[in-house]
Amino acid sequence: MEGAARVALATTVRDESADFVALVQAELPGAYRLAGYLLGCAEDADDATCEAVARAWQARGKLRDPDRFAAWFGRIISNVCYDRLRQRRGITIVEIDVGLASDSRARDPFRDALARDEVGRLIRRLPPDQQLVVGLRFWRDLSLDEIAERLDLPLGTVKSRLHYAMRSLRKDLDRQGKVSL
Amino acid sequence: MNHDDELDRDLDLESRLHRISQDPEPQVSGRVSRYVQSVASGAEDSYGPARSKLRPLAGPRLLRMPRLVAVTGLAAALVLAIAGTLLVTTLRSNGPAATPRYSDLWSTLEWHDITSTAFPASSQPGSEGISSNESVIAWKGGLIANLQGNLWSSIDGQTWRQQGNVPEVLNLLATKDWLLGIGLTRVPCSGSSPGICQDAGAIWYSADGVAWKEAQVPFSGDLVVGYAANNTGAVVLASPYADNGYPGSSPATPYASSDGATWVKASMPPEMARATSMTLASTRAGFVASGFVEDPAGTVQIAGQNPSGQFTVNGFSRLWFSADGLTWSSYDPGPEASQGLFGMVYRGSAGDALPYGFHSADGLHWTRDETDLSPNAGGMIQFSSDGTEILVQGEGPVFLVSLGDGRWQRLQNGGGIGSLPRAGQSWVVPGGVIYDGGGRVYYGKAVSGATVTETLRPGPTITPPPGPTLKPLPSVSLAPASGWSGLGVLQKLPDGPSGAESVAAWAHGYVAVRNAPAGGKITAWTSPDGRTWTVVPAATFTGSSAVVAAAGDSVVFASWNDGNGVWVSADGTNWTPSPMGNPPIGDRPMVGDGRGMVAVMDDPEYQLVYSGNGSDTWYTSTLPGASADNVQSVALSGDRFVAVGKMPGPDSGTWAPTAWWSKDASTWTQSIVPDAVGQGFVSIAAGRNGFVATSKSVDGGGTATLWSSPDGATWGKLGSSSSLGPDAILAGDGTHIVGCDVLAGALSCWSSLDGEAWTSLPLQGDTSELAAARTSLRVFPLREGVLFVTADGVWFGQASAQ
Repeated sequence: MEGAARVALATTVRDESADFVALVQAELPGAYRLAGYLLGCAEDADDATCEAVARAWQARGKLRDPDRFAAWFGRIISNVCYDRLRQRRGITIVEIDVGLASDSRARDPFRDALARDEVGRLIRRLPPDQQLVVGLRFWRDLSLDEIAERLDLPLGTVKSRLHYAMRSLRKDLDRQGKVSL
Repeated sequence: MNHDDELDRDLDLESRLHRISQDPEPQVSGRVSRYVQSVASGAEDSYGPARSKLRPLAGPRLLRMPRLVAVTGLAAALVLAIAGTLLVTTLRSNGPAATPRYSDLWSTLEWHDITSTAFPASSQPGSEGISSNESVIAWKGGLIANLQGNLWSSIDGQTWRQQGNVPEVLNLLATKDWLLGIGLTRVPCSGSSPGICQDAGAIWYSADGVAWKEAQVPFSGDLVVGYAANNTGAVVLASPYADNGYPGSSPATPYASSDGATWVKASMPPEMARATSMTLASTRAGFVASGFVEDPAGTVQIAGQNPSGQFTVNGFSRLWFSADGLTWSSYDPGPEASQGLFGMVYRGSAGDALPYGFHSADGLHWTRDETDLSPNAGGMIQFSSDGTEILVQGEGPVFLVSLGDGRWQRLQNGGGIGSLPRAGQSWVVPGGVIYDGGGRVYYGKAVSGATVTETLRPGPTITPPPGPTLKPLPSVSLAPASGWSGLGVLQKLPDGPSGAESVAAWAHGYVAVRNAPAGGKITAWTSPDGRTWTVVPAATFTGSSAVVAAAGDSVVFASWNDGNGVWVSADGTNWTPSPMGNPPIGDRPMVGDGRGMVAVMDDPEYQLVYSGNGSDTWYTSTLPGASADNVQSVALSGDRFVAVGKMPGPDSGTWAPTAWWSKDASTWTQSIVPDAVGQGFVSIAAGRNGFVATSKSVDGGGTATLWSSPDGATWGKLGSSSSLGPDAILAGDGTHIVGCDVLAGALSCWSSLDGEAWTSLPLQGDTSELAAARTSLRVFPLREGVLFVTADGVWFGQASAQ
């Protein structure tokens, strides 16, 4: 993030839009990828990222410290993903027919990445709160402390969610006999 | 398995998780970038349930077209299956369309809350409930549910009885006489591929749901990739592993059975034999298989990445039909019916139904439904059937019913429950509908022909779940408390509970606890007076996160993570582990007194549990209107417990702060909280004459809001005259509430008895060390003063009474 942009956001109403764009664009790649891996496809990543941007724009007046924009926006995209995962709770996605009419439409980098390893599919069986912690830990490389701050959770809760997520994944892998590759 | 093996497995799992997101990482789509620009330019300024403002930039949502004709040719239908039901996404409509009323179809659902009596442990701690991910099927006039390896049966869907244990099956099927379980069996590791084991499909069968036998299947080593059953028999699709292809890239072979024990390989046309991505369904006429046949001239393309790299495959989608599962031939369902919709077929008394609006009286020939579902049930819709009725649930929720003849009737919602929570899951049962939402289970008794209203009638408080209701507390007559006017010189306590996150006052002193650092153990201290502290032996407790609370003459310690437990002590030194194992509490607030304990659970999170003695038995509290993830904190003052959290706001997608109060920990009343859309309560502290709570934006940004309440029942925003900043550290012990904050580099504190009137507590001495440790600072009001705790030190300030 550019320091000049941060200063401008705090002081200049006239350039608010440009500054907001600059701040958001710096965070878009990480937010988009987190959403894509968590939600499983580029289309949902698009939707979730746009929703997070809209939420951030609406609530921009509440952000008192532009230096906190990254963490603030990170929390927003996490909440958006969590809400969407919750709406899917208990749902298993079954593709009746994976064919599509267009090559460009068919290629989905997130779906492909998740399909490379059975673990990518098993993650969807986890409760949404555990999926979110796994995503932040392994796909955004946040520390447990950073995850706790981002989700506004006690560190112990983050630990417990990760612990149970990993335990569930191990159990599922054991059940499928694919522990070691 | 030894520790080294487990460590290796963890490292392997972590590396596999990391690899998923390794380069090349997907780039942000142009649509998102354009949206950012449009938002900032004012062209787009909102989001919301309609999401229509996002759509112009999205292009057509290929997978969410409501009309069959829009899907045909694209051959891409995402179908979301749950618990024997089916979710199909459709475009949201602007409102319900007028539809004819059919006198022979259900007209109303009279809703009742049946959480307390009917369902197998749906709302109990540690249980996911039937509807979360398990099978519910209709069989022999009743219902069978597979719940985590246990089989349950019900005649009416309301009262369930456990039948016995089932093998570890993934799905249940039923013919007229047999129950079948489809699962996996482990194949021994291959010598040529050491270390790699795989599972193979396995089938179990039972005539009564109690005694099960594993079938000797003729496709040893293959996976079962499809399965279907009707009254006369069952068919499975067996397919070998496809290690280097796309998912489902191996051809599948049908096997049929009439009794579950003997399986016979089917005969099929050559094109079917080489088809991939096979799915299977049953209709009243037989079985339908759909698949993808590779052909360079094909109009359907599969593209993706496998271990060998990027690939694209062209081909055609095809259908095949078999009346008995043994002899298959090519199948044409008609000019309009999409091949992609035959993965799920729902059986009604008058015909079969396909998602996207088609039905068939004979299971072979399909025609468009008379009623268009999409205007009546927009958004995500779920299907379920019990062999007689077919139910569709749309957002709201709204429900429509059909007999499979193409006529759908939107059902009115009646009954005395007040409202149905949103975003639940439903399935139809004989005579009604079960709806699981908001952490509760409801039964909608079907009524035909009644005059109804559109809305639910306001009803009484929801019936509490089973469990001993704590004895209602007598009126508490506490001696008036004196407020504090100041603190003496802060005294540093060298043996104090540094880093403590929880401190409880009880009959014989205090207990403090600090959560375990990484790789470490919980530390606990006891003190008779709040000034002299003694560490409890490290081996006393397991777990890594803990909380303590008084229980009258004893004190209760609960821990969580990496070893869970509850311990009770009468003297703070000798601790007795509770016979109750694995309590899901210990990382969130817990309060108690001589009458009982109330704790915010950690798994499932944010529910309330209570116990009469804090040891062997805990029960889930029922909060009116609350869904399962809403409670953040709880406090106790005088004769009442008060819990705070959040609930969905008046508009979809919003939240609002919510509170509940109770005198017995079992029956709770929702409090009155003025509108504060977008925020949720995150903490509460109790004083002798009232409470103070903090709410924050659920997005995590912005300024916190302070609230006060004299009784937990009515709340108002705290006025600015309190001098207390919104980011103050707050704590209460049921008598005094203390709030502290760092202002201009110095620590400032206030105290209150009711959360409304605050008195400054001048601090004596140097508080710079405390101010510098603002991020780790916690304050704990004790009987005679205030304990200040940071990560590295502890101070005590003697209070002077007003």
